[in-house]
Amino acid sequence: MFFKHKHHHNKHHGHHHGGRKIKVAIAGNPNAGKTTIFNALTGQNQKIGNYPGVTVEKKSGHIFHGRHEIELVDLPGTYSLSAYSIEEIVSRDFVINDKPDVIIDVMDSTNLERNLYLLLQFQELGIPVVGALNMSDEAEQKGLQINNEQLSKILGIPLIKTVGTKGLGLKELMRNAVRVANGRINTTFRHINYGIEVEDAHHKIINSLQTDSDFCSKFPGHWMAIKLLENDHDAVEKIKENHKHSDQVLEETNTVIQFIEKHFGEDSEIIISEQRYGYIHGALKETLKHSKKLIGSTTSEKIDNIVLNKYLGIPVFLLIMYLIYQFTFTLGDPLGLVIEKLFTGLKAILENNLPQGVLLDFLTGGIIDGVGGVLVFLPLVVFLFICLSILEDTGYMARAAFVMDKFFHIFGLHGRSFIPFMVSTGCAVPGVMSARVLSNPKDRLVTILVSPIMMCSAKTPVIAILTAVFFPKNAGLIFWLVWLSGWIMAFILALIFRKTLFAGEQTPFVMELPPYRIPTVRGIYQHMTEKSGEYIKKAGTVILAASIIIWFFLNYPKPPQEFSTNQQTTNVEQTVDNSTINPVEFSYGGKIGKFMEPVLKPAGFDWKLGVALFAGTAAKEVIISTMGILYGVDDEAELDSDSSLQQKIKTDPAYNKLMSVSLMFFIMIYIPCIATLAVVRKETGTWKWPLFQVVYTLVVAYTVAVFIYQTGLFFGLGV
Amino acid sequence: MIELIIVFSLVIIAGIYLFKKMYTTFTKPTSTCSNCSGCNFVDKCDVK
Amino acid sequence: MTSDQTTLLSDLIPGQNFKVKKVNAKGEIRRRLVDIGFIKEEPGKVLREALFRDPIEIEIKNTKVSLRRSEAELINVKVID
Repeated sequence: MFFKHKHHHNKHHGHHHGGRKIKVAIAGNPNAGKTTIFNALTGQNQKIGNYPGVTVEKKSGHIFHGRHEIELVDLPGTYSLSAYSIEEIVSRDFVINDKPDVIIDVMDSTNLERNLYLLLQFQELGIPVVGALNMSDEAEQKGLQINNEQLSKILGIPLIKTVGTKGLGLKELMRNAVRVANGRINTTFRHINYGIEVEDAHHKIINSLQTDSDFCSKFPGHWMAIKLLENDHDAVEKIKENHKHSDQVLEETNTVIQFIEKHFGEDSEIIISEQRYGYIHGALKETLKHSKKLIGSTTSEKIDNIVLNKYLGIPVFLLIMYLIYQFTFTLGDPLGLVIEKLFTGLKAILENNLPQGVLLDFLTGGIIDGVGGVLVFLPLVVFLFICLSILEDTGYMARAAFVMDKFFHIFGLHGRSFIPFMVSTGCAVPGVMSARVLSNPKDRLVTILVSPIMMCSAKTPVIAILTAVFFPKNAGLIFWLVWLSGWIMAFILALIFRKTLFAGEQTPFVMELPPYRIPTVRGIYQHMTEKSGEYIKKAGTVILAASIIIWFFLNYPKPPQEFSTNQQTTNVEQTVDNSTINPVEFSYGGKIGKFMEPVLKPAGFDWKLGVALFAGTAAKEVIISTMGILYGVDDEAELDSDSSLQQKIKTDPAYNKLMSVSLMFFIMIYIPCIATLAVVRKETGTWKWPLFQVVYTLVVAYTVAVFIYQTGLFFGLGV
Repeated sequence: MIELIIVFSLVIIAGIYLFKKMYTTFTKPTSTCSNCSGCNFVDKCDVK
Repeated sequence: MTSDQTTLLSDLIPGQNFKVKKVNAKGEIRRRLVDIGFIKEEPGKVLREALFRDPIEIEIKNTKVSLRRSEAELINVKVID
């Protein structure tokens, strides 16, 4: 028996000609190029939000096609429409509740079997579907010939060949979608033949469902029945909550399922999946031809042999990261120096043209010293981000997760946590968000709690300065070791968390490995401009504002009149480091620092660092800004604005190699910046976790720093 | 004297700005995009 | 004589081709495996393993998929040449 239902929209919406808003949902497998197409269609007109009640991102956009206004909603990428992941449930619910006029299913043409598996399930939902045979260029290259006309007839829906990355076929895709939505093209509500026994069971369940006509107008009966046969727990819930005769329906379901399972000796869920694939197999046999032998891209395999090699995998990764940092520093340092000279010059101009006084102070000691210090690292940070983006664009990250999985598993983490960790190396904010790839909530939470410990683009300049000053001969290597320690500490903490607070089940690892892609020059250029823009924006807004505030706190109140900055008076208390009193100590900021000093001493820090670290909770770069301002103040009388921040740190007697190590560890671990805390709060939905993060990171950071410093002193490594 | 006024006004403006930024960062209702542009307290997502 | 014998996917070594016979799991993990292509009679190939033979990379339905050993142990397969 072969059911073919023609689907007419008219009864769903007040249908009037032209200018009606058409609702289109875009669906597809992950990695099928759905997002590329969505972005190509909506361009700048995108809006990002959430599906109600969950942290699944909902992207929507408004576009015009001819005189039709279209609302496009990007559904999360899924392989199926089961009830096991939040993405699948969100997609199903959206289609059932929001009733789009048409669904565009973006499919990877080189992988039609799996992609059609999802298509069939969307068709069962009762909304017309239009298929995009995306990546059709790659399919052609691989020698796949798809007779899309015939396939279209078999499936009963329009199929358009597209190349999302080049924008090909999109107009025709939209044209078809609109025509389908307007009822101008009829699509069939495909119901594949699941076999007599299953069809019979299906029929029985539908009859049972129809005892509640309200329910049937809200929920697509056909789809519901199939889901019930698949033991779909979400469908069962919906019946329980919405169907007048839920007991009856569920009892009937049970009966027919038992019958099927006895008959086939196999779970009904499996039968249905097999039938789907069987149908697809048949359809493709007629419409898909391989003109040349399918050679799995050999370059891809060659790369995999090295990168995913059992023994070389991890060392290769460590090597890649080492090279990345070497590269960024080699290019970034000299460019940074150029920027530094610019600021020094700017300072000189100001000093020569403005009278001494508050304004000059403010501009040179506050703004330039604060923001300048951070902007000097612009080249370095941008190069870092570019490298990380390239790494991601090539598809390396997903594959590296494969190599890492067992290793991660030892620490109670999932191989997929590799991606949030890697992204956090750039910035913890997107890193924490990308923890969404972890479906197990405990995995996800532990990853979120631990990711900000990694080296990030804000910590990089700070650590860079310290390694350059205190380990001039091996700066690069020491830097990389600190980077590595970030990972090690994150692992150890994850293990502790997993064993204590968050013990639990491990999730399935099943993961698709997307093909390698060559990043485009345009893509790299885009990343570069994007990241530079953001860094400058951050420097010009948050860091600028923070610098101004810090300048104020470090300069006011001014030291009393009788105290001159030049004098080394003997009847003044010696400070801990035996130098003259720094006028900053009289200021609010200085007083706070001095107040903290007893606590800081065991770790080897002085009050200046106290102020800087305190300010650094806003954003870690501010540590540099604060140091810059601090030393700038100290320096007023000498007008020796040629010595860089590095030199000033080097010559400060309060600092030494040992202290720099405890300091670096402290900076790596302690309190994530405010932006990170905010995103943790958003991703976890509660204040509990960011607060916990603040406390635990502070405690651990302090403990580690003190331990390092005291141990070092004990072994006579001090100074 | 004017200098003092200018400078202190700027300080106060900076303070208000920072405070406002922190407030919106924490209370912004919608989620930011997964293509996040990085930790610079974005008010809205401006992904291309 | 006829090897109708099935083995576990986890027992295979890289380079071996197989046909899926049965997925011995329930709930989410089974669904994931089936959705990604591990259905009866589906041919596949073991590509490589990570250190400690875990995870395992498989090619099935024209895609490269990564599976933990513990998951591969749930799949009955028949080796084919």
